[in-house]
Formats: sequence, C-alpha cells, structure tokens
Amino acid sequence: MSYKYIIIGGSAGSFQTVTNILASLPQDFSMPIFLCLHRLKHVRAGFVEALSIKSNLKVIEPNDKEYIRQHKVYLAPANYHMYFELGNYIGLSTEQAVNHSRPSIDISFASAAYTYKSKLIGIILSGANKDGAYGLSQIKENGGLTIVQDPEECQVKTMTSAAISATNVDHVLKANDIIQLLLKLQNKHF
Amino acid sequence: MTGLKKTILGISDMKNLFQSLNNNYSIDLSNYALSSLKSRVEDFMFNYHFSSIDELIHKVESDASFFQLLLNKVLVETTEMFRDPEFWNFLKINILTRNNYQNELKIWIPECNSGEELYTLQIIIHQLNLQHKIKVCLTTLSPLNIERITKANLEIKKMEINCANFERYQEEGNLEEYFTNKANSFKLNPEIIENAEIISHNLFSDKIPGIFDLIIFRNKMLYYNPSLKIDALKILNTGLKPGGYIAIGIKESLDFPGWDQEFTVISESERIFKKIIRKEE
Repeated sequence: MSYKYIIIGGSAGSFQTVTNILASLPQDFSMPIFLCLHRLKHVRAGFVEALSIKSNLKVIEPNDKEYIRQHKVYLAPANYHMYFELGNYIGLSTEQAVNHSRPSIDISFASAAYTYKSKLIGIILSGANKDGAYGLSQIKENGGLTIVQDPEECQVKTMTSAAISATNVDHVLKANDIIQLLLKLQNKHF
Repeated sequence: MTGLKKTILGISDMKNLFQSLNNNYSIDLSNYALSSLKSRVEDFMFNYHFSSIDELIHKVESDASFFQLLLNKVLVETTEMFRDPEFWNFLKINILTRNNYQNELKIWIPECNSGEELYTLQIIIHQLNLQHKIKVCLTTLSPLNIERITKANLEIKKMEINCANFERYQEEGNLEEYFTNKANSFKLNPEIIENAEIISHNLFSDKIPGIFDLIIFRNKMLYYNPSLKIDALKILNTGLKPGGYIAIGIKESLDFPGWDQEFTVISESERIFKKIIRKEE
C-alpha cells in the first residue's frame, strides 16, 4: 500500500506532539501533511511561526483554492473549515462550527477521506472533545490508514478515546512510534 | 444509532441533484465548490431523514417550498458581525475616514444570505456620523432573505460571538448598545440600516445594480469553484469605479487573469485592493 497524504487532528495537549513530529521528519519527506488543530479563532498570526521553528518542512496556512504540493505542511487557518477538492486544492469555508470547532477535525478528515481514499493516513492526537472520531471512521471506511495516539500518553484523553471507540483503528501508538511508522511508510513509498 | 448514519454522496449523486434543480427551478449550483456543498447536502439529508439522493430529488421536484428550504440551508449564511476586527478597523481608518465625501460614497455588498456584514458596516458608518454621505446596497440571491435581513433579529448565541468580536474591534462600548434585547433575540435598532438598500439580485444573470466606490465581497468566493470565482470577479470589476476599492476574505486571492494590471494592493493582510485609474488613451 502506498500512502500519499497525511492528516493530523488534535486540540488540547497536541501542540508539543505536532512540533515533535514536524521536527523528526526529514526535509525530503514528500507526503503533504494537513494539520487540523483546534485553536483560538481570533488569533490569526503566530501559530505557523511557532510550528515552523523546529520543522524541516515548510508550514503554511493555505489560502482558499491553493494547490496542494509535496514537502509542505498545511495548517487549517483560524476560524475556517478546511476541505480537500478533487482538483487537489484546498477549499476553505466559514460554515458553522462543528463540535464547537472551526476548523473542525470531523469536516477535514471526512473530506480528505472522500478525496484521497486509501492513499490517506489519518492521525488523532491528544484533545479535549470528541471532534475527529467521526472523521477517522470515514478514513477507515474509505480504506485509509488510521492511527491514534496512545491515550495513556495524552495530556487530555477525550479525543483519542472517542476515536478508538468509534473505529477499529489500525494502530494505537505513542508519539515516538507514530514518527517511526511515518518514516517507514515514507521509505516504502519510494 | 441504527438508521441514523449520514449518507455519503458521490459525484454522480451531486450531478443528478444539480440537473434536477436546474431543470425544475433554473438554479445552477454546478459551479459551487463541491466539497463543502456536498457536505451541506449530506447534513441536510441527515437532518431531514433522507437516505438516498433519489428520495431527496423526488421530494424537491414535487414540492417547491421544500426546494426553498433546501436552497436556504445549503447556501451558507453563517457569518459573524465584526468578523476579522482588524479588517473593519482598517476600513474605518484608512478608507471611510479619509474619503473627502464631495460625492456620496456608494458601497455594494453582493451575494449576501444574511445581514452581518451590512449591520457591521452600518454601525461603523453611524459611529463616524456619515449615514447621510454613504449609501450601502446589499444584494441577495433569494427574495426570502430580504425580510429576514431587514428585520435584523439575531439569536442570543450568535450575539455572544458578535460581542466578542466587537470588543476586539474597539475597547470601549458594547455592541448591545445598537440592539434592543428581546425575549430570545437581539433586534438591531432600525435606524442603523434605514438608509441601506436591500434587494434581490442574481450576480451571474442580472444587470449590476450600479457603479460603486467600494465592494465588500468577503468569504463568498469560498463557495464557488475556480471558474465561477473568475466570472464573479470579472462581473464585480465592471461594477467598480476606477479608484474604487474591493475587499475580499482574508484567506481569498484576487487572481483573475490580468488582475495585477487593474488593481494595486492597499492591504495584503486585510485583502483590500484599489482599482487603478487609467489615463484616457
């Protein structure tokens, strides 16, 4: 199986893990990575910069209809939902919040699952509500690979536990093992 | 949870729906951004208990009022007053305050399904005491929206978000000062929007409603596909005076072919552009 896209969802307690993942992936890691992280809706600036400090990959907040390229990390902008269109570009929306969240992980994951099918890897990290559980189930149903961070390791377990009860996930792993798995899957990809 | 599963639609399902709406009601949704529209139709089907697109099409074809309901639900109307407070402050300080007002300033807010952008703008106009020097025109696709936008009754839940945005727009004062608190809602004081013109209009098929000094078109093109977006920008350009301004959403781009020959950037972060005045050849 060759995976081509990675989508990561998280909220409370996930920032450090996301930073670690981005710091551990090499510059030649080609799969585009989509980050759907709950964040303060009115704070526009600073998040990309904070994630970029240790990242070897370029982190951007995409504009609407921006084409998706390899070697890039796409962070869902504050106060917008992030979709994936069939022409392989990003679609943003200001539709109402889902699970009190905009961006909503369910919306992004379900859209990515539909567009990328079995080429997608979905990862749920630490978080304080159940957003993402439905989205991850859609990735599984569409043949993608589902990974959840081990709740024992999470600062807040609600999101990972909800994801595990909604879906028969492929892997429940500690953050370091998630990184090792991504590196292995990337190498297989060549 | 049995029987409550959301139906996931395919491309052919969406195409069938578009064709039916076009044939029966002459509404063309085929150039809307597919992913978000698909998701809204799926939510609509879930909420109204349809398990297949054929069932939905059958209902819509046989019941015109149900079609209106569908249209209302799938056209996005979720916005906030004072969304992006930095944008509204920039507009107030750099454009509305600096204009010389030798002539009435004409502003167009096209393709609105709800009134939040209008209410925000009109409150700023009142703050500046410019209500007799600025004329705002809001156009909306569905005639059903006109009454709702004019009534300006906002849910309490939405007002909480609006008030939080307002606090970031200006430190003093309270948005609720412009409203009357009713049982389950807040009603905007009617004098705030009494000068505004609110009309039904299809951007893509009707004549443009005038030539304007400023067009506010934020977060509307998110719901168009790339070709409809270009069509929209070309039409809006014909409704904009040379030297006039256009504002789009802070995550949108003004990128129809040749736009950089016609516009200069006034604010990159707030996405405000000025139409270049060409010397007569």
